[in-house]
Formats: sequence, C-alpha cells, structure tokens
Amino acid sequence: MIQELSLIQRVQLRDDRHAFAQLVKQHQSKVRFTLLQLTNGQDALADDLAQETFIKAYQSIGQFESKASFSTWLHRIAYNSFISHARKRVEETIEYIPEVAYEEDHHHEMLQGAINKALLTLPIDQRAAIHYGFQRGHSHSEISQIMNLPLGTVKTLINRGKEKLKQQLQDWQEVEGAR
Amino acid sequence: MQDKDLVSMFEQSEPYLDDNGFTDKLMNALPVEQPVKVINPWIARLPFIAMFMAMIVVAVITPIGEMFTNLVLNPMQWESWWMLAIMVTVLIGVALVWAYEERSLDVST
Repeated sequence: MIQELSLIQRVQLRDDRHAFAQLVKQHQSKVRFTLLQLTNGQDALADDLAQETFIKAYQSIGQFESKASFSTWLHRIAYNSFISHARKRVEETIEYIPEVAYEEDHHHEMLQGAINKALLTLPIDQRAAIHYGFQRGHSHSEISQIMNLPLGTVKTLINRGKEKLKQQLQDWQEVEGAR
Repeated sequence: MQDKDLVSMFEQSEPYLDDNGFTDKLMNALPVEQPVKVINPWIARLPFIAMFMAMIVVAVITPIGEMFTNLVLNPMQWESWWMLAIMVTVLIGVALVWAYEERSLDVST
C-alpha cells in the first residue's frame, strides 16, 4: 500500500512513467478481467477498454486523492469507460467462452464457465454490482462510488443478482456433484 | 448456498491474466505530456505554514514573545538574543524538514 502510494506520488509530482508502468502491471489483470466479465468475454474489446482506462487514469492521476483506494478509483474509470462504450453500441450477445489459459485445473475452468454463464443472465448493472461485490470484494459504499449509484440501489442490485446467481450456481453444483 | 460460498466460488474462478505486452503497448500509447497536474504545492505546505503561524501565536502569548519584545525595546539584553537564536534555529529546523519532505517525494529511478 505504501509502495503503491509512493508510485502514485512519483507519477503525480514527477510525471514518472516508470512508476506508472509499475502501477499498470500491478492492476492490469484485475482491470482486464473485470472488463472481460462486463463485456461478455470479448477479450479484444476488454483490452481496448482497459487501455482507455489506464490512459484516462494517467491523464487525471493529478486529481486522485487518497480518500478512496487507488483500485476503487481505477475501477470507477473502467466502469465509466465500459458504460460509455455500451451506450454507443448495442450490446452484442455472444457465447462467452473463456479464452484464459488455466494450469491443469479442469474444475477451475468449469467453475469459471459456470460463473460466466450465470453472470450473463443478469442485466449489466446487476452483473457489475455482483462482480465488484463478490469478485473484487468491494464494500457496498465503494461499489456505489464506482458505479455512481445511490447506496440503496447498489444493495438492491446485489440482492437481486445474488439470488439469481445462487439459484443457477446451486443447480450447477448439484449437476457437478452428481458426476 | 451462503454468501461466503458465492464469494469463494468467485475467488476460485478468477485467473491471473498475463501481461502479454499490455503494459508496453499502453506505455507507447500514453500522451507525450501529462496534461493535468493539479497538485497545488501550497496545499502540501499547509501543515508547515500552520506550524509557523502557531509558532508566531505562541511566541506572542508566551514569555518568548515577551522576551522578543524586550529585545526590540532593549537590544543590549543578551537573554533576548539567546531566545532569538533559538527561534531562528527552530525555523531552520522546520525549513529543513520541509526540504526533506519535498526531496523524499523525488524518488524517480
């Protein structure tokens, strides 16, 4: 955390690109994976949005204050980039086939596939709220900052999404357990 | 299914995405000049300014202030010169801490 703060200060005060590259390396996986889930697994689009996110972050890093965590701030930019994109284009529905290489872990891959399929059935805002809450472990108030929504709305989104997910994943667990 | 089970499933399912040139591509696409630098150095210096103001207030309402007044009224009184020397030393100390803080932010490699 101190290390991260020091890197941020180096970028803010000295325009230190080496420090910014280190910040990107620390956060790229999570930001790209978040966007991958939000875009229904369109990896090229997710990476483009991730690039856009980090460029915007670089351009406005002077405005970052340590009130929120850097991760929350970054995810807010990523979510805004995604929403701007989604407003421009009608969302294409594609079958989500994860193209992520897993290391000899079939269960891992199956679980990922099940979660992705379940997430796909949720509306975008529920999917995002669930992702930030359960995948990223953000608090409701942080999700409210990221998605720029009232706290009550976030709680409702999570509760509704959670119930749907639980039902679908429970079904998947039972089928998997029976095998 | 409990919430914690859901969290656990999500945690297990997240892969680490390899960089695969993502950072290099991004660094090449960054704008040449950073357009926004809104860190106001005066905001960073506010604690030191506040400390300095507090010192002045303290000096005015305490015997140090009284001795300083004596120095003005009676320049030959050596105790007052001592007190002035102490104040100057403290001020130099504050300036050095300030300079160190500024310098410690410059850790570019």
